Amino acid sequence: MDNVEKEKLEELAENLVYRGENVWEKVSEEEKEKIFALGEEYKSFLDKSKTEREAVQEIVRAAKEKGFLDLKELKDGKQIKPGTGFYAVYRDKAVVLGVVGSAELSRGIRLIGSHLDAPRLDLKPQPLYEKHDLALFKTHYYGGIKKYQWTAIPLALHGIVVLQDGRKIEVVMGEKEDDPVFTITDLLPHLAAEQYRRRLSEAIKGEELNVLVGSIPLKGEGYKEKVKLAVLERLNSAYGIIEEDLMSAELEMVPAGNARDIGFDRSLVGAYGQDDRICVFASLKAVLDIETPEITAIALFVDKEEIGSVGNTGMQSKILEETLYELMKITGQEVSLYKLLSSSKALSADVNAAIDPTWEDVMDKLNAAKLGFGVCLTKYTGARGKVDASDANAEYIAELRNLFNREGILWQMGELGKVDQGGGGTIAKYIANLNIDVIDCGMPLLSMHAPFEVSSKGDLYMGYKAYKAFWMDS
Amino acid sequence: MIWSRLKNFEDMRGCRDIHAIAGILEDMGQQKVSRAVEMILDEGKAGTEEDMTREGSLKVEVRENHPDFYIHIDNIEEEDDLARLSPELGSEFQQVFLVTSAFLGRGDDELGRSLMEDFLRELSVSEVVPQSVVFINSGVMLLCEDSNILQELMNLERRKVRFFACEKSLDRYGLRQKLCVGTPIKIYTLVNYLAGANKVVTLG
Repeated sequence: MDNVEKEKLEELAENLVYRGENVWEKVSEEEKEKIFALGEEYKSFLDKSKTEREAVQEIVRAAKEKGFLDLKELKDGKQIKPGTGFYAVYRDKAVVLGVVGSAELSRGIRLIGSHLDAPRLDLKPQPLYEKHDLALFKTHYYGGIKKYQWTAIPLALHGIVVLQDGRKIEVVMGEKEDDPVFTITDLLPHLAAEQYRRRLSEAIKGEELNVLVGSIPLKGEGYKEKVKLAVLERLNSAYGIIEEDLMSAELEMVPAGNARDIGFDRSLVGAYGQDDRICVFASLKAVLDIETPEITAIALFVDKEEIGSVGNTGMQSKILEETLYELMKITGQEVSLYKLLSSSKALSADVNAAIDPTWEDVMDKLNAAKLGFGVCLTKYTGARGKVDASDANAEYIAELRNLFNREGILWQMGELGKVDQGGGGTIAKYIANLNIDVIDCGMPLLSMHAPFEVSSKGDLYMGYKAYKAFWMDS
Repeated sequence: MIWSRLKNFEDMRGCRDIHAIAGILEDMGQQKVSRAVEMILDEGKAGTEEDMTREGSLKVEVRENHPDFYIHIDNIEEEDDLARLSPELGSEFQQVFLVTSAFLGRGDDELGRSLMEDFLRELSVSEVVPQSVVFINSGVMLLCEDSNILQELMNLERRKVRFFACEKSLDRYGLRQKLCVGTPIKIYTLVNYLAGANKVVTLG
């Protein structure tokens, strides 16, 4: 082949063939600095937001700092004008942030929804017991975990205990350098012959996820379970609680420790709970940074996605509708809620699986997201023939492609694994049920749902830019 | 992102604990399967290669292989769909794979085992599959307990690929009771079977 023909082919390929682009190869040195600065902010957010309640607190703190107003405290529309930021908290486990647009609400809203909950181990209502002179907590895992990943690692206790009189006691133990941590013990290999015969999914069973919490008995004769009693005494002196109080508590065991940089080049973040707090952080940062949008911007942070978006703090509750109803009431705009929703557009900000070099066989390489190749659009999720998926409309994808390409945002299209390999879902289908155009748009992760998930700082930056552009687009 | 637990197929082969099997099947929420397991628990035995139930679209097959029970659950509708989607070579062009060893190629055994497993793994997702695969000599180990590719072979089985294990080889390796996938066949059946095939691809 002569050089002319070769050049022609290359030109043709350049014009016709889609090629994903690596963020790190594409960005300027100045942008690279911004990426790393954003990464530092992100890690700090993760460290402060290990549960959905803590994330809500952090979101509200950041919103107040930027002058956002509590929607529930606004009596009339006087304080509300284009550019006003507001927030509404629901049961301390879900929150809606918004920035009022210059256009009427009849033009709809621009919604970005993400979820605050992450897989974890919840303490059972009666968790504490003693066996063989050790005190342990029984747990009930929350969300899709590989149970064996949670043994023999340091765990921290986070959550609240609500006393009979309604007072809330916040508990965080295991995060400070001098805090004790907790752990789930595993069987030594020497005696694991029978355990080795178990299927991997049953290597550690749900009822074996028992957390070691103490071993010193109280001195004296009489009461049999002296180690358990000693733990209760410590809990009582530290927090003023008694055993029955644990029944009105939401206490979660999560991996102890802070988010860390991964790799010699520090390009990646390793931390617990990045599904979906990476999208929570990117959309929080974006909504706090936008000026007055034309269309009202709404950032929705919901709970319970990992167990089916159920409950009164999940996406299937009426949190969004209630917020919009309140907003209409305060601004004096009488719009049909159906009309408002059907005129709206949304991004379901949730993570997707990045291709893992060690486990590449579960992915269709042509359609898999790659770490470091930008924010990921996922047309559909679901399992076995797109069952239970919201399949985004082609027209809407074209619109977003146009926006992202115009704004220089590196993006990629991802699919959750090979057909018939498995599957998953997000809040997208519940947003779609509201007659809103929606697509999943989030960052790819490695080791999703593991105690230590991996993300790319480059993707986070592109996600932040994408969310900002989405809200500022008219 | 929530993990979808849409599973209607479970590989229990190799599991010796009938109570564990019952628990896992109950987790699947399949009442018919639970009933089948109750029958096994009550009677303490199961029929050989017997369909315990054929109600609805669920097929439960239980095989007693003392001291184990092998339980095979399939969604019949899905099985039919898979069969339709698979461009399997028809009877006019019967293709048989003959696996003569647990290792593919000669040289390093570890590499050979890994290559054979990779080959069968790829075959399990391949669009074109053979009509049957016959395993002889150490190849039969691939069909037995402790094989790393039982799930893949079962996927092929669901796509109507038939597996046969040489009886003499199974006996030589003491694996008769540990056969998890496929049917044992005698040498003379094997001869007739291979002689009748239009094309035999030998691996090993």
